[in-house]
Amino acid sequence: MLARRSAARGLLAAICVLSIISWAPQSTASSAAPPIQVVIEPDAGVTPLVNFIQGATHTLDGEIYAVSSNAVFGACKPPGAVM
Amino acid sequence: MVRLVLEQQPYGMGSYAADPAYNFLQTYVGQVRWGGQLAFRYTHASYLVADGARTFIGSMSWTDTGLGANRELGLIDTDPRVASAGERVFNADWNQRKLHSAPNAVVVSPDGARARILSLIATAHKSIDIYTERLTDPAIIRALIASHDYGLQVRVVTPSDASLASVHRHHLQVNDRSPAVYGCQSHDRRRQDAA
Repeated sequence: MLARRSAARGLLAAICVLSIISWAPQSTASSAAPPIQVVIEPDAGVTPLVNFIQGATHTLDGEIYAVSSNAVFGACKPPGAVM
Repeated sequence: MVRLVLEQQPYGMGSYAADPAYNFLQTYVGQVRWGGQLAFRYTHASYLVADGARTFIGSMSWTDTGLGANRELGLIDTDPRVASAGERVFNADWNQRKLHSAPNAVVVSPDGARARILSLIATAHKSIDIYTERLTDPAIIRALIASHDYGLQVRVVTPSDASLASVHRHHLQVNDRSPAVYGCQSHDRRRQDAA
């Protein structure tokens, strides 16, 4: 009798553990951003470059052969500056 | 803080073509300097490093045609090694110093780019696809011909008559056969707009 009770309790405990595992939030796989994003023009337009410029928080260093895009100038200038 | 190095004479047009951008950036953005004074001929690079951590590098100039009309390819890379390499190149150019050893994470011209490209060609096993505004370097053309001789499929898209002429000439010099007969495919896409 005692052995049966013990077995029943063990079974119940196992079910509870399984239930807890089943209901526990699924551990999300690490979905890190891909290290490289490809930008294809002319389809992408100015948006990827403008977003990149505006995403800089401390420093932005670069070299360029020619720049004349008003969208790029606008992204580079500080907020409030009048062009 | 924004720091930009600009080419002073883009398109061979003299500084008046770049002065408006220089003046705007100096007035509104931060620090700007002309490049190409000492260590190289032109600043033909196109890249940005944000916060020393993210890199935007591409073939496009930041013009309306470069960002909305031309076929251009760019990469946004979060690899810190690429960002560090970009900063090394930038700091050398910003300070008008020679880049004594090119970083491995990026291919830098004129500091060993040809050797890196030749190495890439030499390690291809099946095919080589090239999309370039100009292809006139004899060493690279010879390497492509050798790859084709070895059995690789070699395809070139170029809008440049000079590139096509160069490919033709080198094919003729090496094999006395035209590219069409030789098997190297080249697509002549006429330039419709400036870079």
